[in-house]
Formats: sequence, C-alpha cells, structure tokens
Amino acid sequence: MPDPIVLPRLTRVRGATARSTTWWGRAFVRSFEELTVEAAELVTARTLARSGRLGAIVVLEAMSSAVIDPGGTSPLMAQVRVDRLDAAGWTTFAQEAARESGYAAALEAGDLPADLVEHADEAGAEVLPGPGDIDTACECDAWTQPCRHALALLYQLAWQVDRDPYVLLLLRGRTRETLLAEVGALAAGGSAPGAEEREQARVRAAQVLALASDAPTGHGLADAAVAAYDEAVSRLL
Amino acid sequence: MSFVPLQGRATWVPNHPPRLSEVEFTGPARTIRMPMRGAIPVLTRAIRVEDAHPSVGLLSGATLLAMKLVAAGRIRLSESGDSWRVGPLQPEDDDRLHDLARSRVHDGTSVEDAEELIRQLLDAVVDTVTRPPSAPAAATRSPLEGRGLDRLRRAEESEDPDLPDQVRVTLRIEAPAEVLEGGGVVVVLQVHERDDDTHVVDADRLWLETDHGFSRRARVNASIALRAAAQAWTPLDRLQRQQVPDRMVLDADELADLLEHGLEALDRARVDVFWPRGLRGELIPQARVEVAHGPREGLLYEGLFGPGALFEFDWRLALGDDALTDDEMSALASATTPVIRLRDNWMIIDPVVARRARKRKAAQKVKPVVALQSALTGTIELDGEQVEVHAGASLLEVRDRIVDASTVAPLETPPALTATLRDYQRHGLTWLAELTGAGLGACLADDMGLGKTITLIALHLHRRRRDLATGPTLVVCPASLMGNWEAEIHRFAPGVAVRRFHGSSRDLGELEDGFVLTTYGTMRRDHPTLATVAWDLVVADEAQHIKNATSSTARNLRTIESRCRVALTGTPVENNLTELWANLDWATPGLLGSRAAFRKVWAAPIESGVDPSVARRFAQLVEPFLLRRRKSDPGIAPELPAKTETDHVISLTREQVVLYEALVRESMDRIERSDEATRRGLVLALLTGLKQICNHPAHYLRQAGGRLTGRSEKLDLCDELLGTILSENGSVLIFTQYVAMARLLERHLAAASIPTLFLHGGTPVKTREQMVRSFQDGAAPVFLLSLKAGGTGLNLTRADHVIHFDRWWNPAVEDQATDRAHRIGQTKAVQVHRLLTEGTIEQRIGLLLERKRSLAESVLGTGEVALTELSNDELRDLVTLRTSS
Repeated sequence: MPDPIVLPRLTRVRGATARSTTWWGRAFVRSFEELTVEAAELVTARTLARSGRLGAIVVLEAMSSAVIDPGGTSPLMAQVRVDRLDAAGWTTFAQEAARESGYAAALEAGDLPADLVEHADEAGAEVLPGPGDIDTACECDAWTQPCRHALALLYQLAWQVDRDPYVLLLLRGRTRETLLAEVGALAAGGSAPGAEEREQARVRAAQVLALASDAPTGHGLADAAVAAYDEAVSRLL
Repeated sequence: MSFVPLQGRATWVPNHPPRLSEVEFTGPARTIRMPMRGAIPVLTRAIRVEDAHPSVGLLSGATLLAMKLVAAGRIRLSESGDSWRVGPLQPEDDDRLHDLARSRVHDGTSVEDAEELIRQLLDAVVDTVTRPPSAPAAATRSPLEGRGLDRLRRAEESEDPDLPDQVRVTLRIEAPAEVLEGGGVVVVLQVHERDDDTHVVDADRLWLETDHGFSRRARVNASIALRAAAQAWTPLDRLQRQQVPDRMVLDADELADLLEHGLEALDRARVDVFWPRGLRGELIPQARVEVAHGPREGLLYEGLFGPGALFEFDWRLALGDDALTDDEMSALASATTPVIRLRDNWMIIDPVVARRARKRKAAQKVKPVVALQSALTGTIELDGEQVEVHAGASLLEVRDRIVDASTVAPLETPPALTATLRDYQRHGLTWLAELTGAGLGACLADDMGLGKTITLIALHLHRRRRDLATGPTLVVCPASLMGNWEAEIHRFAPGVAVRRFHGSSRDLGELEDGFVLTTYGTMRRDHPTLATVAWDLVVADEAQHIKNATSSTARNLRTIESRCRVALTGTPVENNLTELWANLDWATPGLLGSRAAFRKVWAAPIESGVDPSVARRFAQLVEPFLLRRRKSDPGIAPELPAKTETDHVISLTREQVVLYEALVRESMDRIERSDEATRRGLVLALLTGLKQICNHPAHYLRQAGGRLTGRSEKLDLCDELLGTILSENGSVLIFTQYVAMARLLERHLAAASIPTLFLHGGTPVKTREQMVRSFQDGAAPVFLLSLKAGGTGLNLTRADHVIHFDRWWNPAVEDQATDRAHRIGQTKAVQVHRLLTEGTIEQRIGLLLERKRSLAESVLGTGEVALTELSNDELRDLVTLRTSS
C-alpha cells in the first residue's frame, strides 16, 4: 500500500485560478459535473470549494476524502470513490506509453499527452474516469449524491489534478512510481524483440548467398571443393 | 558430406519448431536423413548440379529464396515468440515463390502442394539461420500484469549501481548519398554522459543493448532531453514518436528549416548539432566595390565623393578563396533544396545564403560613403551581415590617397599666407586639402596651440589657389573665439574679407570669397538665412559644441550645405565614440552609418571588447578622417616655440556695455568738474571700475553670489580654454590683479567641480610653499594667482598654460608672471593667453603700448599713476567704448 497523497488545506482561492487549465483537468471536471442535474448546485459547490472551508484532502488509491466545515452545523466528512482501472487496463496503457519514447518523457515531466490517452482508449483502457466510475458519499443529509460538499471536494481535486495528473491516476489506482517503472521496463526491452538476432541473421544469409553464387558443381565422392564449401556454409549457420 | 546423393528423390520431413525439420536424401545405395543445419549447405549448391532430382531442385531453390528473404530482413517472430518465421512477404516474394513451385513441380505433386512445401522449408531455413530470440524480448507480448516490472527488478538487481544516468543529447547529421539525392539528411540521436562528454553512445545502442555503460534510467532521461529538444525545434517530435528514437530522415523542407531556425533554437536549448566534415558548404560571400565608370586614364579625383558620384557593388560566393562562376551562382540560386552538388561534392547551403544568391544583382549602385567605408574597412554590409569586400583598382587608388594624405610630402605654404607654416602644419594642410578635395569632411583634433586656425586659413587660401573653391568659408565658433579668428585672418591673410554674422550685423549680401564668422547661438537661430549661401567650406570650431547630435545646434548646423566640412576640436574625441560619431557624421555624413547603426555595428562591440577585430576595423575606417597631433608628439615638440602668446580679443556683453558706458559718462562729468586734488583719485577709480566691468559685471557690482555664466565673455572663454586644457591633462596658471575676481573664479570653478589652488598677497609664506608643492605634484590643475609682483620665487613649471585674465599694462610684470611657468629647464612649451575686451580701455592701452613706445615707457615707469596725468580729452579718448572696427 503506497503512502497516501495529502493535499494541504487551501485558504480562499480567487475565481480565476479555479478554472482548469489542462485538457485532462477539464475532462475530469466534465465527468463529475455530468452527475449533477442542477446547475445551481455546481455554482454553490464551486463557491464552497473556493471558500477555504475544506480541510486537507487525503488521496489514496481509488479514494479521496476531506473534512468540510459547512457553516452552522458540525463538520462533515465527504468522500469520493473512483473505480479502479483493472491491471490489464494499466498494462495496456503502459504498453501504449512505451510505443513512443516521447510519451515516457512526457509522463516523467507530469504531462499527460492527449493522443496517448486516446490510443489507450481505443485499445480498451480508459484511464480517465467517466461519470459512471465516480461515486460520492457525505455525512450531510442531502437527498442526492453528489451533494455540494462532495462536489466541492471534486472541484478542489480537479485543481490539483491540473497541476499533477498523477493525482487523477492515483484515483484510478496507480501511483506515479509504479506506472513510470512499468512504462520504463516495457520501453526498454520491448522495443525490438530479437532485433539483434535479426541483424545477425541478415549478415549470415548474405554471406551464404555470396558463397552459393560460386558453389562447386561436383558431386563425386570425396570432392575436395564440395567438402570445403559445405564446411564453410555450416560454419556460418 | 559431399557424398550426399542428389540424383534420387529428396523428401521433406517437417517438424516443430521449424528448425527441427529434416530432409531425407535417397540414393541408389543408401538413404540419408539430415537436419536443417546439415542440409542447408547441400541445398544451397544443389541447384547447380545438372542431374539432380527435381525434388532436390525444388528444395534447393526454396533454400536460396529463404536466404534472400533473410538477407532482406523479411523475417518475424512466431506468435509464441520461440521461433522465427518468414514474412511479411512482399507481392514480388509471393510471385517468386509461385514461379519456383511451378517450375519444380514433379511427378504427381500439385503446384499447391509444392507451394506448401516451399513455405514450410522457408520457415525452417529462416528459423535455422536466425538464432532464437534472447530471453528478455518476451515481455511485450505478455499481457500479464507485472511482467515488465519483474523484469525491471531483475535488471536492476543485476545492474552496476555506479553507472551514470544523467545525460544530455546531441544530434549527429549523417549524409548517405541516396538521402542527399532527395535533398535531405539523416539525423541520429546521440546520448552523452552529462559530466563526461566523451562518454557517448547512439540512441539505438542505449535502447537496444546493455553494454553501453549507462544505467537503465539514462534512457528515460535521454527521452526527457529529447522532449526538450523537440520543444525547441518541432520536427524532432517525429523522433519522439518512435519507440526507439534512434534516427530520422529530414526532408528538404525540414533541412532548410533546421538551417534557418532550428540550429539557433537548438543552440539555445543547448543541443549541439554535429555535421560531417565539409558537408556544410564553407561558402563565403566576397564582394567588390569600384568606381562606376571603371578604371580609366586620369582618374577624376577631385570631388570623387561628391553628390553625383557613382560606385558599383557586386558580390558572389566563394569556396575558400575560389569565387564561384556565374553558372555556379545561378545553379545555387535556382536550387530548390538546401542540398546541392558543387564541384563534385555534395554541399548543404544555408537558405539565407541561397536566398541572398537569388536576390543578387550584378553591378548594384552604392552610395559614395558606403563605397569608401568598404574600401577602408575591407568589409561591407550585405543583408545585415558584414562580408569581406575587395576594392577595385580605381577605388583602391583613391583609398590609398586618402589614407596617406597626412604622411605624403607636404604642400608648400600658400604664397598668400603671411607666415611660414611649420612642418606639421603643412602636413595638416595637405591632409585637409586631400580630403576636402575629394569632397570628404575631416576632423582636425590637434592639441590647443598647434595652430589649427592658421592651418584652416591656409586651407582656405589653398583651395582658392587651386581654383577648387567657389563661395565663401563659414566659421562657426563660440562667441569668445570670434575676435581671435578675425585677428588671425587679418594677420595671416591680409586682404581676405572677414565679416561677422552676429549681433546686429547679419548681412550676407555681396559675399565675396572671404570668411564669414558666426557663433553657435546665432547659427542655431538664423540657420535658414545661412543655408541660402552656397558655401565652399563650413568649419565648426570647438566642435565639441555639436557632440550631442540630437541638440538643435547640431541639427541646425547639418542643414547648412557646403562643398565640404571641417570640424576643429582640441578635445581628444577619439576617446568618446559618441562624440566622435557626432563630429565625423557631420563632417562626412553617412560614413559611420546612422547613430543607431553605429551603436550596433561599432560602439557596442567595441565597448564590450569581445571582438578586437571590430576595434581594428573601426580604427581603419576612422583614422583617415581624424588627425590629432599632441604637443608632446616626437617631431612636433621641437618645432614648437618655447612660449606662444595669444591675444584673445572678445566682446563685452550687453550688461557690460551698459555698465561701462554709464560709468564713463558719470565719471567723466565729475572728473571734468573736479579739482586737482580729487581728480587723481577719480581717474584711478574710473580706470579700476572699467577694468572690473571688463572682467565681469559681478566683479564690479561686488556680487558674491548669483549667476556668473553668460555675463562675461572673458569667463566664458576661460571655461572654453579650461575645457580643452583639462581634457589634454594640462594645468594652468590664471593671473588676475584682483583678489575679488580670483574669488569669483574660485567659486565658479568649484561649482564645476574643478579643483583649484588660490594664492594671493595675504597668503602666509608657509602656505604658499605648500600650495606650490601641491600644484607641482598635480593636486589641482588650476592655480589662481593674484599677486602684484607675480610672486617672484614661485616655481610653477608644471603649468603648460598661462591665462592673464586682465591686463597689467606693464609687459615686464606680465612676463614675470608668465615666467612662473616658463623657466629654464621646462621641457614643455608654454602657451600664454591674454584676454582682451574689444573697444575698451584694455584694448586701447594695449594698442598704445604697441604703437607709442615712448608712452609705453612712461607708463612702464610709473604704472597707472601716469594715466592720471592725461588731459581730459586724452582721457575721454582712452576710456570711451568703441564699437568694433
């Protein structure tokens, strides 16, 4: 079990900084905004997220939570649970990432290339959670989930995800280290299986052909030239 | 094995994996079953055995085909990854296979069966020739989670922990002929150890092998470095997109972009690019400038750089020293890719160079100053870049004349000059005559006292004698120097008309060939009038007045056209580039380029001192236009007299005139009505008052504070002289009869932060000695002295200038004072400046002293007291202010 990521409490945030600036941040926001029917709730939740009334956020694999001061009543605990991408899915993603050396560099630099995620999607590994992958819970007595508290937590998570996509990937079940190590390992040896053997074989075949173009035609017993030829070719094999 | 029977049927025995298949050869005596390893040598030669059995022929042909496919690299791993198969096959491979099957089909077997047999045999040969893949390659194929990680862990455990992982990347350009044909090159990614540049491997080795001496982490770091490089130059993104970013082909457009933008961007990102030796064409532009009419008999030198002059400019590229032919230039200009074939070599040409070649025009016209500039510096600007230039024979001849002007055998003193020029003055005249003769300007910056004024007068006479000049000479100078100019012209060129364009006299009608004198202030206000005259020569004396090119003085002076211009200055302009530019750009407009261009091309590089060749080129450019001799120069000093005396005749200011006339009027009334007893006192008071007014109104009015500048030309001239003296690192004695005046000077100089020493009659002897020591040690450049007796016994030989602020009316006293500085043993020449106000009692007495020896003697004997003996009329005649003659 890896250590959880703890995101310290944010004091008041100004409006402009609350917009997502990365494509994955925006995709994440879309995924949970779709869970809400009432647009007004989103506005309330954004205001709450900016208000500084959320405590530190704990992010674990597939799960995140924070304590919120709702004002008036006692503090509430809100929780977000995200469905894990299964092991096969992560391997597919890592394989896609290993296909281009630039992807590994981008991931190392904290960038999540859009086309990489697209390729992985096509190969059946949806790294970014869809609305169906997100589930929330809260101690408040709201009738529906996500409540404004859970949404506020999600907004704050989205801002963090903007800065560091690994927060999102952790919610999907992979730590940065594990993912990068896997990509690295695949990129390393997986590049050209047998490339060296192929290259050696090409050279040997070319040499055999060179010998064959001048092969002796005799077939009598103990023909020295034939014997020498056969031996030369065998040595190459 | 040579006894393998080939005449009988050969049977194919497939197996799995294919390399375990066998061939059974049947002969009359026996049957031999051979593994692939043994069968392949036999089958590769069997095709040449004429009586071989068709089945042997089929297998033999298939074996050779398999070899060709392996050699072409058309092999792949099987699904399970444990063996090799042929493929993927190209359509032509399928055709060959089909042809082989049809030609070798034999007794009863179908073509389809034969093809199937061939395919099996291909796989078997391929799998035999190619070694089984080494273990690690298995990873990617497994979708099982953690396989990659397991492998990583194993690898990490086996890895030497000391291997470096910090890397930087560079690009190596390779240029195989077939890629060059298409106008492109190959880029290979190289990875260096960050702390050891010599530890370098190609990216494909880093990715595909293990013995490269880098840790596994280095691969990721190389990817990150490549990512930064791709951000600097985007075409590298294609390299990133490869699983192994080892190499990529740049097409012609990308190569052009690399040369034009990429190299610079990559350099900023600190990614080096290495080119094969000789591939990047060392094509250097070579230019040529020549007088437009070409070399011909008797080059018209006079006015060569005048407004109508034409020069031609042509350039072409050169490979080393070898200029390209016209055909080669046009081949280069019409090239559509950066890769061209030139003199049997492939060469990559910068798009900038190619574009330049396209734009090239033969025999472009250039401005005279640009031609001259290029002839002097050996470089010319071509599309914002300095390129080497050769001057044509005619231009070279002109250049040599200008460069040598100050050293060739000097001209004789013009006959009309009533003085004999010293040798260095004749050199100066020759130099001025050559430059102005060619229509160029000049800046004469000799030390003060070397006779710039007389040299200029000589130039004026010389130009007339040679019939070069039509039109008068305009001299613009500070007001305090006008009198001196006028006096020297009268003295050395008697008969030459001089007229002042100043104050109330501003008449330019019926101008002859003479001199017109004006001040900077008058010129600034009245330049439109001055600009209407067709001047032959405009002279800016004390040209430091135009050192700020943006000032209205400098701008307005530029509007006055003339055939040529000469700047005179005593300050060492060569030490201040901006001032030098302002002077020379006025004298020869355009020579140093615009001010902004000058800063960029010359001043900034010279001041930064990065490239010494810039300073050298600049000196070559400027030297011919600037002549500066110092008094201390060998060859100059012996020619100088030990003592030079100059009377500076200056005017009274309006304030002084009013005070002067009022005092004369009132005093003369009272003197005429006075008795004998009081008369003497009144006369002495009048004389003293007038002398004080001549010195400075503040002196007479006993003002201890307030503004001093602009109220007395004596003071202004004193400033002017001091400016020059101090810039020459000289020192000066200033004598005045009046302690009050000395105090005013002391205050005035202190305000200008000029250190002074001040010695007067009341200074204790001990302090005097101390002051003299300080002055001799160079503690202060200015020594103010107010001593009736001139302070006999003072040894002030450090001074090389003496200024007599007011007259002593006694040459012996003056000489005694002067002798403080000029003594036997003094190595420096001393210049004596006497300040004389025009039309006043000072000048009147000066004239009397010269003309009437007898009076002079009587005055000498008794001093001012003798003047009290003059009659009323004589006295009135002496003190009445006269307007300039």
